[in-house]
Amino acid sequence: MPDLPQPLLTLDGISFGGRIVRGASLSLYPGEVLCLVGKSGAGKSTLLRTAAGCLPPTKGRVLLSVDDRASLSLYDLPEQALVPLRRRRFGFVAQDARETLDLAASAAANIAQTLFDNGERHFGRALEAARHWFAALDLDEARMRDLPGVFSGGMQQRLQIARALVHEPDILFLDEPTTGLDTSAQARLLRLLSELQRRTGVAMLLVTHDLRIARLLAHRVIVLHEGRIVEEAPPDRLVTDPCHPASRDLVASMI
Amino acid sequence: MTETFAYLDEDSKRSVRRTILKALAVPGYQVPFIAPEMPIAYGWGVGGMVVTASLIGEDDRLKVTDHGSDETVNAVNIRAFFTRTAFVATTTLTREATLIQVRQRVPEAMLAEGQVVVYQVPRPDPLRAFVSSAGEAARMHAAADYGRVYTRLFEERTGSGSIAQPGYDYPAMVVGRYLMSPSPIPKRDNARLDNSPAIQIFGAARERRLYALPPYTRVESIAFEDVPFDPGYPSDGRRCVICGCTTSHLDHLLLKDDGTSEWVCSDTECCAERMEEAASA
Repeated sequence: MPDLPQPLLTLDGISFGGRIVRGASLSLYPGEVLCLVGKSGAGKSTLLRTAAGCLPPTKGRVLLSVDDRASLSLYDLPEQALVPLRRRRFGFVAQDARETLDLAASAAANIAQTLFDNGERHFGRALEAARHWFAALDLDEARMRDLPGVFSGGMQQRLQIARALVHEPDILFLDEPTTGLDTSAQARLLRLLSELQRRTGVAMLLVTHDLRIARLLAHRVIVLHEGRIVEEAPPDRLVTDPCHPASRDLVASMI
Repeated sequence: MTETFAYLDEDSKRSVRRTILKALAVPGYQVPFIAPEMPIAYGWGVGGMVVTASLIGEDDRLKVTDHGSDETVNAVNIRAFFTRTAFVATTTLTREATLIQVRQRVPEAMLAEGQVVVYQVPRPDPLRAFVSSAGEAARMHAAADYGRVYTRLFEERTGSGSIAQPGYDYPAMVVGRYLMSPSPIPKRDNARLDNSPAIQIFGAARERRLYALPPYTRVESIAFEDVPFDPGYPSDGRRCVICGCTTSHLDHLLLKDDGTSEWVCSDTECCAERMEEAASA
């Protein structure tokens, strides 16, 4: 766990829809991997999307640091300001790759599109970036011109990660990125994510219901239960000494 | 039934003219407009006819072309319509015309200050090829969010072929701000929109949108910083079978039994002028 400077992202008393998320507060620090765990329906994905600037909360604020002293309240920004800010500083990896990938555009174009959305207008640079991220995510360069629809689930997820990281965002949001993958594809994806995080230093907010993934990737784990944050701990401590019954249930489900 | 001057009632014409003023004030911005009914079906130039009907006066001289030709069914009938309803003089010469309604070409003859060119537009919003929602497209225009257009260019350049740009209706940026459909003119005609001395107005009746370019407006076909715009017109030795021109935009006339093709100038006015010059030489 790195030293804790000013938080990159702060969620302050977030509530959504009455019972879905209730008064959740957390901070994400630069270079940190923070995992949100909990059972299905605990409010993990809703909280993630709210943190990512995609889902305005019913109550509370999401603060994004802009420099050492100042932060912006995301949902107080007009949409014309929020959308480019979100695109420039965030990457998002969804459970279902088809949610974020453009299935009518080639794999290379899917990666380049993130750059074009952020104002890149240089063909050579965009192509080079697509090549670089294809290699970084263990994708075969010969398939850069293929449509993502013909990729396997694991390849689609890796393509999604390349698309989310190509513009070097400050924060990568991942919503159960290994769902639907077989165990070997899961292991490969997690290994790549871990390597990329170390190499790029990107902060990650990761949602999973699997504590093994949290243990592998996270510096810190937050347990959500019925919309509330019930426990926060380093992953090893959470596994060896869970305090809340919901955490104990999750640890028990690992075996 | 008594027809009003140029078919449309005065209130409708006034409303369209107000929209035109707004469109001229914000070059390239698509302004919603009422697009009143005309006695032809959508797809045959209702948008252009509404604009022409709203602007035309007794002293105007009207030229109408379709695919560059003054002689196609569409051009002849629209010209006849305004001759009957507005009693205006018509011409096939660009230099004589004050109001020029066109479809799928920009006149090749030089335009002049004081002229108005009206374009018939089937699909006014280049972003609707990427997003189905008109609201989302409007948001993207407001934020100058044009990344997806460059993704399409990227696809074309990398040769994926799945969503390649066509050789016509190639998007152009107006004064570096609004992305505009130039209407289905060939790519190479985009250059004629730039810095034109004439007022250019684009009417899309089915989509209820109108946009405009005031005189001397900067219009640039979109391109990458390192890959310049390619007008994409082949120079494979083809020539007009009537006037022999090789530089004008040529239409495919016929494919002969021996496998060769014949081509003819798309712009009939310029073709006829070249023939007259040749005859008098």
